[in-house]
This record gives sequence, structure tokens and C-alpha cells, in this order.
Amino acid sequence: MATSVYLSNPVVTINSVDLTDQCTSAVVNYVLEQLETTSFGDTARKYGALTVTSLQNNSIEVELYQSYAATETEATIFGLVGITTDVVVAPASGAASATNPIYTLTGCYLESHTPISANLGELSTVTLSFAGGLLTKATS
Amino acid sequence: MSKYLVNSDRLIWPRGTVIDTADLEHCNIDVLLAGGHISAHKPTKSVKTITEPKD
Repeated sequence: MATSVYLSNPVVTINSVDLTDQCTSAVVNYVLEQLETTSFGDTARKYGALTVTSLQNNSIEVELYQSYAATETEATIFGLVGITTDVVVAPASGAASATNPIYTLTGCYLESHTPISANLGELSTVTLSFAGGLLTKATS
Repeated sequence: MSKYLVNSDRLIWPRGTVIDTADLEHCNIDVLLAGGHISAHKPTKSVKTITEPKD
């Protein structure tokens, strides 16, 4: 039987602040830039090689409910715009393990934030994109 | 080394814990301060009063 993943209780920490209960979406993008290594004599394009190490170009996108209360979303996020921080995402709470890997994006940059994004009759949300930084995966 | 009092339930340390700069090594401390998650901890000094024995 195929394994399905249903993430109902992931953990999202931004600048060491646990915002899990405000979060509705989290996407971790692990990217190593594609470098072409095709050369004369090749009959097809090639990318990468054992000796070619490309740059990581990672990002994490999260969607949070907005809250202007003390120590909530706005108080935590506003000061992070334009600087680097660490973001941690795990499939579930608890210790890191092979079945609960903890992904940490260290030194990622938050370019923008929308302090007010509201529609009548809807809960206000903010979508944040943290770019760059080194992604590590902890399983123990 | 500066010390900080945890004022938030969103950090890994319980509210009321006193932590220092080393604990916050991977955090942006200014943003945590601005967000009210921590505050500068200034321990109250206990002043000892020495009383001269009466003759």
C-alpha cells in the first residue's frame, strides 16, 4: 500500500518563535542549482557531476493567520523584514527522527511582509517567503 | 553576557525563565525584544544593611 502523508500538525518556528498554531501552510523548497556540464563529444545535455557542487537556492513559504496581539504573528514577523533569520519546519512535534525529519533553513532572508491584508468577513492571513540560506535535515 | 526574561509562551523556554545571549545564539535578539517575547533581565540587588551593635 502506498504511503500517504497527511500533515495536520507540523511544527513551524521562525526566529525561534513557535508559530505553529497560526500556520496553515508550509512549503520547504530544497534546491541545488542546475549547472550544465555538457561537453564536446556528448550526444545529450548533462547537468551536474560527482565533482560539481552547485549552490543551494532554498526557500520556505508559510501562510499564517494574522494577529496583532502581543507575541503573536505581527509582533514576531514585522522586525524580520530585510534581515536574515532561521526557520524550522518539521512534520510533527517531538524529537527529530527518520520519520520526523526536522528541516532548518539557516540564514534565510525575508524580503517582504503584508502587515494588512484583509477582506470583509474573512480571517486575515499573511504569506511569507524566506529565501536563501543553508538547508539542513536532522533525523536524530 | 546579557540576560533576558522570557515573556512569551512561544519560545522553547517556559515563560519566566532567565536566559542569556548564548541561549539565543541563532536568534535575532532585537526582533525578539521588539516582539515582546523577551525583555532585558535586571536582577534586583539585595542591599545588606550593617547595623552597628549598640553599646
